Amino acid sequence: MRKLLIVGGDSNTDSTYTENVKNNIFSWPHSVADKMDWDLLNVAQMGRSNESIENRVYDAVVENQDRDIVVMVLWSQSIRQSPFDLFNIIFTNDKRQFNEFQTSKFLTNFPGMDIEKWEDILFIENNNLSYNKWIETREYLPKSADYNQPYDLQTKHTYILEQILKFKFEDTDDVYHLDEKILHFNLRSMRRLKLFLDSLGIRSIFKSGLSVTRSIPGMFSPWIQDHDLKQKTLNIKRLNRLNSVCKEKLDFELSDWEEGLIWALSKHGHVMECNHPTQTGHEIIAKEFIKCANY
Amino acid sequence: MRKLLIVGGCSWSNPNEECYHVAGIDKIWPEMVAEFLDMDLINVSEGGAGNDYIYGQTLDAIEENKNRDIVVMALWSQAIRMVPFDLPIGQFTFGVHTPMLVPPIGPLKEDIQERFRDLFWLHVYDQDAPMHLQLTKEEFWTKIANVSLRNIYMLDHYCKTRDIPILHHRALHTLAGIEWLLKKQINFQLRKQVFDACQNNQYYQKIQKFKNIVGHPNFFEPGSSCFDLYEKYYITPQEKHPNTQGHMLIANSFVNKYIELYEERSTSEPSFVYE
Repeated sequence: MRKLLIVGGDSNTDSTYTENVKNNIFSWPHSVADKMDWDLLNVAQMGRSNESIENRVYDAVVENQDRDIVVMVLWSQSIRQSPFDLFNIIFTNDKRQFNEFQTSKFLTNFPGMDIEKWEDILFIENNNLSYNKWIETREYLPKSADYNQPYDLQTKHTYILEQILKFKFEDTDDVYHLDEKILHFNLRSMRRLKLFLDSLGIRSIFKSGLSVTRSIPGMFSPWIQDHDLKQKTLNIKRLNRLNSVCKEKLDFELSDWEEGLIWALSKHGHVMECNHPTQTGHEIIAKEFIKCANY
Repeated sequence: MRKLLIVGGCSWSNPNEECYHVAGIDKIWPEMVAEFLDMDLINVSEGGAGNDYIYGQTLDAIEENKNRDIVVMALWSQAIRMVPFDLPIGQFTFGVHTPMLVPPIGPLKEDIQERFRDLFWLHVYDQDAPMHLQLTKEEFWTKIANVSLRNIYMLDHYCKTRDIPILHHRALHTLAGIEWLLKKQINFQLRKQVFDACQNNQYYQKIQKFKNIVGHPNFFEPGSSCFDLYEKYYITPQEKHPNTQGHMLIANSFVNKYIELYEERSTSEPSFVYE
């Protein structure tokens, strides 16, 4: 019987991601399945958190337990959440995460929106930004969001997490503790999926599409500012610390966790304006996975 | 070496809940079970915890104590709860009976829950929603249930593949209240529809075959949760958590099932003395 390749990930793996469709790009799982002559079940979706990626792979594996399965996962950032696997929230205060292309795309969807204030959190769903447009019609969504006067779901959600953290963690040591908690939450998803697949004798190959650690220090920056700390210096310290914790805790194979495979591709010009792989980029990712699979 | 009992659950299993302190209850069921079975205890339960939290924290505790001889007991919660990133006091419970939460975080939480509820509603009822995002209410209910049912199945699978004894019970009916996510209202007819819709879920069907269920053997039997069973043993009619007798009943049910499934059977014959 032909093998079944089950693939998990976010937009870097999702074949229906808008920019892939627009540019006729076939995502890397197609190349792997083609080259290996396997059937393919790609459960990757744009915006998914690592926990949601884990969950979608579980469901696919359990539904196909009678097949000879191989699993490949290109993991995402640690700062995402997908409540009840329904929709996706990405927490970020890092303005650098918005490049020119993304900014113009955002403004097309939200004409007149104050991006400086809005970009502390981006709310996305499945294949495109239509979900944003859709929820924008809700009366509680303002034309701009403000941390001190949190009107809308997204900002409030971030705000409450900050309140919780402020309440619970008072000094710099606790910032580190929080960072580790977020990191642990993500590594746990990867690890327990690995353990589950191992227990069924299913071969799995994991890689990081985006850095596991880099996004975390940008997650709760306003709170850090409240404490009058030098954010930039502290964030570098936090990242260094996270990297050493991750190195210590990682007891399974997860290549590219520190920088992310997409970052490596971008250095060689293999990403589009939207920071997602070009067709060549996808071919390189496919080769990497096949190489690791030792087939 | 003594066995290690790892317990995961919500407020029904967390000895640090305010309601137990106020009522002067200093011991609840996990400690009672550990004492009776002469085991060490790690209790990772948290008030308001969802099943994702219970699964994750229990698994962490097992992984951190792999060198021990472990027994796991889970008193599961409702599918409608979530705890983002397992953060302390980060629980969203979406209950309709939840008492007023304390400022400043409490009212904010309630407000966020309402916004979430609106988003859930949009997934099902907004005609203008993008086609690929629209769900029927049955699909929505099943999607919510799927998260919790998967957690229960995965913890069970993890333990069974490592020969770790595990028992499952439910503080609250796992599927009860899913209907509240779309409408904050008690409606038993709608709840019945939720229960029916979830029956086709792949994890639901696997859990129904579990032999290690405490209480009614059908995990999903209406009225089989501790909340349903032990109404007479609430702290007060308003404070719907178990009093000491209630905790003794829960402890007894776990101990009995543990002995039935995992302890060695007697090989001797009964002796009868009539004189």
